[in-house]
Amino acid sequence: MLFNSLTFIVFFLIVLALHYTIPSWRLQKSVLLIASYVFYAAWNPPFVLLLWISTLIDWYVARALEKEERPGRRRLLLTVSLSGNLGLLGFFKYGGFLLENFIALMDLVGIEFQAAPFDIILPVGISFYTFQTLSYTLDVYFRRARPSNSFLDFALYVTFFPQLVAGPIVRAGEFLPQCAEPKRATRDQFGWGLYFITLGLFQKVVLADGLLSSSADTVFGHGDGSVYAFDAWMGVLAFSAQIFCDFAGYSTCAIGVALCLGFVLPDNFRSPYAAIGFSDFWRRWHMTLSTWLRDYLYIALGGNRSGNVRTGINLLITMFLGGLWHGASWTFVAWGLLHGFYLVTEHFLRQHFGSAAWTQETWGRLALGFLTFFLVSLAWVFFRSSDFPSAWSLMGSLFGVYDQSSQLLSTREIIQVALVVVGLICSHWYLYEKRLEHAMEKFSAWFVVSIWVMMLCGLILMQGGANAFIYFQF
Amino acid sequence: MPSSTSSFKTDPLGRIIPGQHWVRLSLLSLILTLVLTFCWEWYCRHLGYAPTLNDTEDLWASRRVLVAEDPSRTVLIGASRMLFDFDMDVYEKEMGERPLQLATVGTNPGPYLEDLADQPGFKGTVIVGVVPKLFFAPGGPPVKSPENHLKRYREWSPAQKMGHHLGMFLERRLAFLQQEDLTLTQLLLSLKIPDRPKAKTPPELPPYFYEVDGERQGGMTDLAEKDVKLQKRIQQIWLTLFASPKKDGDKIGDEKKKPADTILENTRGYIDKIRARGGKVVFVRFPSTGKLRELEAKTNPREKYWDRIFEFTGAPGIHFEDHPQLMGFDCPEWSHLTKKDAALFTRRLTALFKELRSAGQI
Repeated sequence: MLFNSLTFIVFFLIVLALHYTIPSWRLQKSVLLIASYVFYAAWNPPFVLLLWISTLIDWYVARALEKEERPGRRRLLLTVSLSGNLGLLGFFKYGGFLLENFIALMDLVGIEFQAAPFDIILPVGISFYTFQTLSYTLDVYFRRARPSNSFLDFALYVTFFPQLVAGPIVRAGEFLPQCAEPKRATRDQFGWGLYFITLGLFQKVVLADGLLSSSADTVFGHGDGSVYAFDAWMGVLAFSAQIFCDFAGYSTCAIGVALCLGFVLPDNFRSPYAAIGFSDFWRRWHMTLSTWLRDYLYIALGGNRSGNVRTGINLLITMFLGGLWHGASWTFVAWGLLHGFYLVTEHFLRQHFGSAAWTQETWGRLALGFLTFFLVSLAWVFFRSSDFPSAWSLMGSLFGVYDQSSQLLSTREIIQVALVVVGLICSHWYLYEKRLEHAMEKFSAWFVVSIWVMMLCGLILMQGGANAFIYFQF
Repeated sequence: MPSSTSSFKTDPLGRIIPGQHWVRLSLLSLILTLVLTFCWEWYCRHLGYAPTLNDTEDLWASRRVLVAEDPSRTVLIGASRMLFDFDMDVYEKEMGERPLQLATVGTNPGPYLEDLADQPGFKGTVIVGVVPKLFFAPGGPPVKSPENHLKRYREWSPAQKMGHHLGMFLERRLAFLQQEDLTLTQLLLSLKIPDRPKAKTPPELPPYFYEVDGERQGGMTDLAEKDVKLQKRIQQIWLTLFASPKKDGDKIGDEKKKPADTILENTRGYIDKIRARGGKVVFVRFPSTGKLRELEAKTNPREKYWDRIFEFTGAPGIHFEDHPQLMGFDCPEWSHLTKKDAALFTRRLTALFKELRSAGQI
């Protein structure tokens, strides 16, 4: 079920009505759990089974881990959880990719291998809930936390519909304590939640789908020759803005929906396009994934504790897997590795030039911020391109290596993209050191209402044509 | 916060609520938005728009599911001329059965025919509307669009089904819910900002000038039937669209095998499959007039396109120019009939179907 659909509006109204009329907290949680299964089943009913499998594995493994003291048995239990969760993820998400690469490898050594077609549908959100439940088991394994005593709470943690299919990836330590006592949004929490939902939908429906997607699709989908450099840049910038508005829009909606029910979800984006450097970027972009990778992968690999070379390798491994998490394709791996390379280079530069005075001055920070945005946008070329030839072709177009090239975008599209990108970057710079909440406090009530009405009117004018969120495919 | 049901320690996860009266602000915003929406609705009706269903992929999927329920039904496929010019009420009255309308605007019917050929047990009659330019389109939007419709039908989720019913409920009541003309994207398109001289931007598509009902019975809107200015605007769009650069599919006379031959061979394969189960296929060429007909005759001459369909497939076909009773209709914007003419045309067409039926051809 998409947030930007009429079905969701009806579903959410029913959930709210039940949530605020049922007196028993346990029953309220049961209703939320059932609603979450309905939310997921409304997309593809049989895949609810996967949620149940994931829930049961981690529930029983965590309880056994709590009691077990023998290291060998504990490792075995952890292996059961990892292989169960990652096995499902691997089969559904990476099965076809592995088979494809196996066939290519066989071809390389001269063995002709014919495989049956691997036509498996990717269950929506599987990457998100797999990482979520894994974090629970890993925390219990490392004795950072004790398992939940309530199966209902745990099942709700795995399945809570606002963040089920595209995050934010919530840690058990953030969610389970919220299940302890009845949750009812206060009057202002509810209203602020509605504002968040409107803001998220506006980002997704009006900005990402309405004003940016066609330009990005035109440039990235141009399979016939090269693109005029200016148009190529506008297409790449359109995608940079589109992917932010799409994904941050989803996260903002999720936070707002949860808030209306009285639950708090963590922020997932904090003005990433104003980031100064790549470690800053990853502290601001898809924050719940980057902290997951940092805590359970980068630090587990040794983090920065074993010298520069090892730190660099750890960063590259982490970003390699971060890229692969996004999709079963070498282009995603290239995107991840490119970010890994950025981070390693930045690590090196910080050690040698980090204390230079100009890096603290306004113009220096602005220059570094724009350089970061420029390089992040370049990396999106690999993320968005369907294959490497397309990515290299677009790279060539960006730097004007072709003599003959096509002007693909209309003046109207160029104006749209320019306005949205400039507006987005300005808003990110404005919110660089403060949160949206702090900024909103300074605005007058009439200004807030004007913005709210403008966003609602934008949504009504865009009407229908609900597109799936880009991050559903991951 | 102490936890009674969880042993997980509490992290300081909180959310600041800005110091405003948020419920008051949300109510005020909602009221103002409703007022503005009411004004927009009034303005749209003032311009001549009336509530009508959007011809969405969901609406198409809701009709396609009926093929599986009754595999001996007559199915209509093709492009907009089939959608506009074929009156299902008249056909039902004359032929005694209600057909299913699966034609979609601007499309190559090939993917639909393939889908019906692959539908287990399908043994109905398929009436294929032929617009040669689209029938022989080897790819691009004319093929992508039916593929998208079929994808929606095959992956139609419970949430999408419910959304479709809710959407229809609103579309039947609100005139501004017209996706072809009144969305923000379309309104921005109507700004007509001049492009760079060398910009290869897509051709302009016609505005929303037709409507469909819940059964996808299409027809020209009253506005388009009466508004000569709108008709002239659409005529110019047709000339651009139909005169667009030739695709590989047009090069039929060349020595090596061309996409057109592949399309014809594929069509024969689909027809053979349907026939093997007892089904029938018949092709129809609906009227076009004015400079558009002249252009079509030039870019897609009958002998190279329409006639070859029958050479390859052996299926029967009815061309409006072969039958005096089907000629002489006026298409206000050169490509489609008015609702009234569509009813008359269908009545005359069904008389020819009856002849084909008595000859055992359909």
